[in-house]
Amino acid sequence: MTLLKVENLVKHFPTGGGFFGKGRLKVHAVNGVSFEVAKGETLGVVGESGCGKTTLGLLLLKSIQPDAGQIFFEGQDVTRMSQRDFRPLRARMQMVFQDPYASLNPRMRIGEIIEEPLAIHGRGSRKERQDRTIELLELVGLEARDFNKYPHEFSGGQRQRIGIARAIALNPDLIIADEPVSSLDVSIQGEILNLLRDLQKKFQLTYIFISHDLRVISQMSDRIAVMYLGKIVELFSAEDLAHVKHPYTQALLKAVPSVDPTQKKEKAPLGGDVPSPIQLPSGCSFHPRCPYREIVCERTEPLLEKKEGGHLASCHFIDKVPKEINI
Amino acid sequence: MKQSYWHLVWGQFKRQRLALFSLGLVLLLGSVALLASWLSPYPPDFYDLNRILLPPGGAHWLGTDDLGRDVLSRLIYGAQVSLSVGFVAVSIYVAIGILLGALAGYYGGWIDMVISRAIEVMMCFPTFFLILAVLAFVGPSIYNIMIVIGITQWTGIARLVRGEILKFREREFVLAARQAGAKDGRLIFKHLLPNALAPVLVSASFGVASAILTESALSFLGFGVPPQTPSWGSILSQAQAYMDTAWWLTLAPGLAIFLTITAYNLVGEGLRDAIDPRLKDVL
Repeated sequence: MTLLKVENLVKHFPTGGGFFGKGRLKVHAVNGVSFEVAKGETLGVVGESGCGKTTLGLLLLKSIQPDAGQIFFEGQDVTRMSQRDFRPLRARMQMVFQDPYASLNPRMRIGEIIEEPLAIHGRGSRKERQDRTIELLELVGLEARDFNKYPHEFSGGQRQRIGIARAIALNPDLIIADEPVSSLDVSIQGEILNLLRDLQKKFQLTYIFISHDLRVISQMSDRIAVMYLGKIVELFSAEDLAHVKHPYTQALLKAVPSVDPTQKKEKAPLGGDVPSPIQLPSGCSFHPRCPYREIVCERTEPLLEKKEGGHLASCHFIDKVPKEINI
Repeated sequence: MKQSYWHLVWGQFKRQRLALFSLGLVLLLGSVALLASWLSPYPPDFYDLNRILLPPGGAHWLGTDDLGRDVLSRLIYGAQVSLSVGFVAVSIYVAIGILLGALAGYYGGWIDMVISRAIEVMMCFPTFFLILAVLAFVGPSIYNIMIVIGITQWTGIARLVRGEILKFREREFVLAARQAGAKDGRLIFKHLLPNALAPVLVSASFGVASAILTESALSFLGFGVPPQTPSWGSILSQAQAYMDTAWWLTLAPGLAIFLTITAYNLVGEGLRDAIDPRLKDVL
């Protein structure tokens, strides 16, 4: 069953240009994104910094309003819903944040932080809420006696557990995790990822997992969407990682550091930087960095189409790209 | 171990001897003002024309003034007036400043535009002369002074709070609370203001000092409390005629003002040092 469906979502941010030039330049943060997420599934969203991943997350939560496109939650169009009507639905989608140091209010006790969503929605009596909070603390691997502590008494990994406890307090269906482990030590990353997986199994959670780290994404996801300059350039099932079609996805894969230090890697195949999202390249937005580009790539934008193996990819020359790569 | 933010601040504050000593002085002065009717040896306006301009010593520890009133008693009652002006005036403008600053910082847009311009306009006036002018109209009384200082000095706090709110507004914990369904009121009062409070407290502590000084200056110029009400400024004002013959009349209120202002400023400074740099790494 489809839990969340997004059609052609667009978000532009006006940028500088002084008083008179205001609104003439735009940052194309999200530029026509469509996908579906089924209940219980994990959709990974991967891309370099600045590709619009975080904006996409904020759009899905209706933290910011899209300029175009539609968002359906359980088939219901929520795009233009007022904040008040959206409130009960909002409780069903929660977020886990990147920076565990900024995501917990330093003046509140851990108990209050986790209890707050329950208190806002008036779930249960005071006593019931406290019991539930302690249950949640234990669920994420903390202890009941942490209830009265303050955030600064915890490490980054523990803080992330607190953030996760807060996110699942209202029994949500959908959790958007925006780089939930990228600010943690590698040893802690594994623990947090395991916790997220356990919780998913226990509560049939649906995840949208946003990260720049393809290694983490491939561990967590059922399907993976690769974003480049505000667009999805490839969408495929995680088992198919070795058969990715789009030159950008392949470049990302090759850039994952190897565990084996003796293994020689090809040099990073991507030259240059991500172009400015203010002035997008013509045609295929990847063409300035693409090793397989031809004239048509500068002129016509490729569509995200079904290619062989059920992959969706947007590229004119899928056939020129190697079929398989070494990871 | 439960360690709230304010525990940590107190831990840092304690380490600064001068600030701690000043805090003691502030508390002492406060209790003297509160207990004035028990502590003062004479009623503040009890006069004995047979005992005028007596130097310190004997029955009058700090001597008597030109009407034979006990200087120490007037000083103690003066503390009541001066400190209450300081506190009430500062409370008024901190309340106004927090309210307007929070509205401007949180809502932004035209609300911010209007409030920010109002702050700038208000800041263009030389406040002391504005206060003088207003008092000339409404008449000098201790309540008018409190209100006038209160409604003219809020700009600093408003700017401060606006800036703090802007700083925290886009933090992830605010986003998280909004996602949990929190409405504006909860976001402002539970999430944003508690984080903005520490610098406000520092500023208020300096503010009390400056309000006491303003009251003294106004009373000294005759725009302050009526002459029969003892305030440090009015005592000083009446004493200036006898400066060359009765030094104790000017020295006592002058010293009281000096010590109080210094103590409040040092407490403010200590607090500022306690909340700022060393706690950044823990919070």
